[in-house]
Amino acid sequence: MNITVNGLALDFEPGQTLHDLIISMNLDPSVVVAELNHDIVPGEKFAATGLNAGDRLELLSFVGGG
Amino acid sequence: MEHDIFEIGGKRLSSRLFTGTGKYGSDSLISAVCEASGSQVITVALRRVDLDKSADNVMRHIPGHMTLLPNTSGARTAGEAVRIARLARAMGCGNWIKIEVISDNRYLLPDGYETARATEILAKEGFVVLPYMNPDLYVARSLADAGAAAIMPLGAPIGTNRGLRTEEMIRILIEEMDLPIIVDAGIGTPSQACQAMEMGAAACLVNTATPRLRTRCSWAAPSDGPWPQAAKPGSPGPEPSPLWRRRPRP
Repeated sequence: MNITVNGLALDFEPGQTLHDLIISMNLDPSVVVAELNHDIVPGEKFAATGLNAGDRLELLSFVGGG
Repeated sequence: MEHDIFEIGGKRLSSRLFTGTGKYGSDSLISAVCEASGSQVITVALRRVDLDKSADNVMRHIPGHMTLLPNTSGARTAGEAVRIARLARAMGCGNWIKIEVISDNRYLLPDGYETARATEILAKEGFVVLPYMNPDLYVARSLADAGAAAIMPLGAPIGTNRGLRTEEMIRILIEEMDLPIIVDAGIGTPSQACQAMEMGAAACLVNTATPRLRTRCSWAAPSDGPWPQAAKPGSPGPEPSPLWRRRPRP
C-alpha cells in the first residue's frame, strides 16, 4: 500500500503500525515525532497506531537551531 | 554564582547564557560548549527527517540537565508556529517554546503581530513562551498581555554578530517591562554580551558567534580581572571561570 512520508510516496506492506514503519526506515522512534493526516501522534502511541493506504505521514526530529 | 538566581516559567536558573545550536560544523561540539559555559538553556529546531540519509541526532549531544528551548523557525504565520510548538512538545522534552515567526527572508526580522497571536494561543495551552521580537515597547506589552514568560528582543539581525544596534530600544524595554529581557540575535563577542548584561538584561542567547570562536575561550563571566585572552588556534585555550562552570550534581 502507498503511504506518503514527508512528501514522498512509498510502498509498505499492509498491516504495519507506525512503530514498525519507523523502525523499517532505520529511524530511532525515541527521537521522532509524527503527524499522521495532520494529527500529532506522540511517541507512546506509535505502536498502537495502524496505517492505511493513502495516509499522509510527517516524521520530524530536532536539529540544531538558534 | 549561587546567589545569582533568576526564574523563568517557574524554573530557577543560575546561568545567564542561553545557547543556540545552529551552524555548528559538528553537533559533537555542543556538549563541550555546554560544559565549558555552564549554560542551562539550549535551543533546537524541528525539521522533517531526511529519509535519504541517517543523520546524527542533535539530542545525543545535549546534556540531560539542560532545559530545552525548541524554536518555531520556519513558521511564517501564527498558525504554523502553533503547529510546530505542539509537535515540539509531543517530543516529550518539556513545554518551553521560543516563538519565531518570520516571513522576511532577507533580514529574518520577526513579525510582531503574528508572534503575539501565537504567544496568546500557546500560553493558554500551558507552554512557557519566549517570543523572539523586535525591541518595540508596544509589541513587548502585547506579548506580556498574551502571556509571554520572557521576551527576546534582537540586538541586530540574526547571524550578523553586529552587537547591540538596538541598544536604546532594548534599554527602554528593560526600564518599562516587568518580564525578563533576554537579548537574542546579533551578539558576536563576549564584550557585547557584557554590555547587554550591564544594561540590565536578564540573559543573552548566543548562537552564531560560538561555533565561530577559534578556541575554547569562553562566554563565561570572569570571576575578577579581565576577560581571558583567546589562545592561538590549536592550543587548548584558557580554562573557563570556575564560577560559571556547571556545578557537579550531588
